[in-house]
Amino acid sequence: MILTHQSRTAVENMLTHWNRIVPIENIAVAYGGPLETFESIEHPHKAFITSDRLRTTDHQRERQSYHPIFQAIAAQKLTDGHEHVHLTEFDHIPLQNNINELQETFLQNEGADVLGYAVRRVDRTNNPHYLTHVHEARFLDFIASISVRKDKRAIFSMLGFGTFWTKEAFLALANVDEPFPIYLEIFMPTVAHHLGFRLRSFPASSYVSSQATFSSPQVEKAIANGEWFVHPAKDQWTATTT
Amino acid sequence: MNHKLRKLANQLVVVAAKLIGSQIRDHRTNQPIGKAILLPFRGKIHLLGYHCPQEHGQHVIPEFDTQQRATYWKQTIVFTQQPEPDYPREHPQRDPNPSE
Repeated sequence: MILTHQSRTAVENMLTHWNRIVPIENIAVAYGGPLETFESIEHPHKAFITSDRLRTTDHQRERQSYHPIFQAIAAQKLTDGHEHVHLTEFDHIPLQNNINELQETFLQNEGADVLGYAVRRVDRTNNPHYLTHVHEARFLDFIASISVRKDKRAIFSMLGFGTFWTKEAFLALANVDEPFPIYLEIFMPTVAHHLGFRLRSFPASSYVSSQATFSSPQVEKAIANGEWFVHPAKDQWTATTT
Repeated sequence: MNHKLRKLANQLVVVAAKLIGSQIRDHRTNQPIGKAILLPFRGKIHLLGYHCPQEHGQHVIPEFDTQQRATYWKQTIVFTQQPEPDYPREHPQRDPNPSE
């Protein structure tokens, strides 16, 4: 599941690249751009996300949410026939042809249900997202109300892009209502943990932090080194064809 | 304009913390875990410009240090971090054998 808001041409370039790695029927697009562009995208597996919770400007302070994407995917039954969900963003570019095999193997080796980048426990720390959420009593009350864990004050954070889920964990999260705005970097890992799922971080070296596109020496070196992704390559699909 | 000025001021604090801030070490491991300016003001201690060199750096937990000998005139606030999450799966309704 790839989240994008880019032009039709950029989306087509993106799908062409992903289709070298994943069968086209396994790729879904969650679209957060204009409706007319969404309607022009000729890809059968797509969902138009209208929610203001996704379409934020100051993402952290407006507490941007990916929960509408989870719910749209669940409602359209786009996970049917699949065991895992890779929820990513248009600027998170796979570099290896066996990327799903790499992620699935890592998930199984870790005995995990959810993989993400920079998965951290943040309660009692100076993490600004934790501090602003815990300032509201209803936040910990909500977590306690859904938790199967003994420690109901454990709060987690992870980056929003490139998360990898078992279908069970993904649909369980989709089934939880977001009772008030909770920032996606807090909501996804914290709710998954308190529903009883096991979180783990991807290996630190599994992506290159760069805006470089495929033609750059840096990305060529990353591919040769076996890196999994480059992020955030925001111009990959608009600057060039694949 | 106010927003730009505020952003600039924030960036200056971060730069100042990198240049003249205190090195913060994890009290348990003695590893450096960032730099910040620690500013006591109006009965609170403010952490300014905290910067951790690690990619997507961890955040810090302040706590009072333990004392081998009771010292009445001084206590020390130290910093540590949360360990990397490594919690088992826990599905009360779904686990075939929850005791495992």
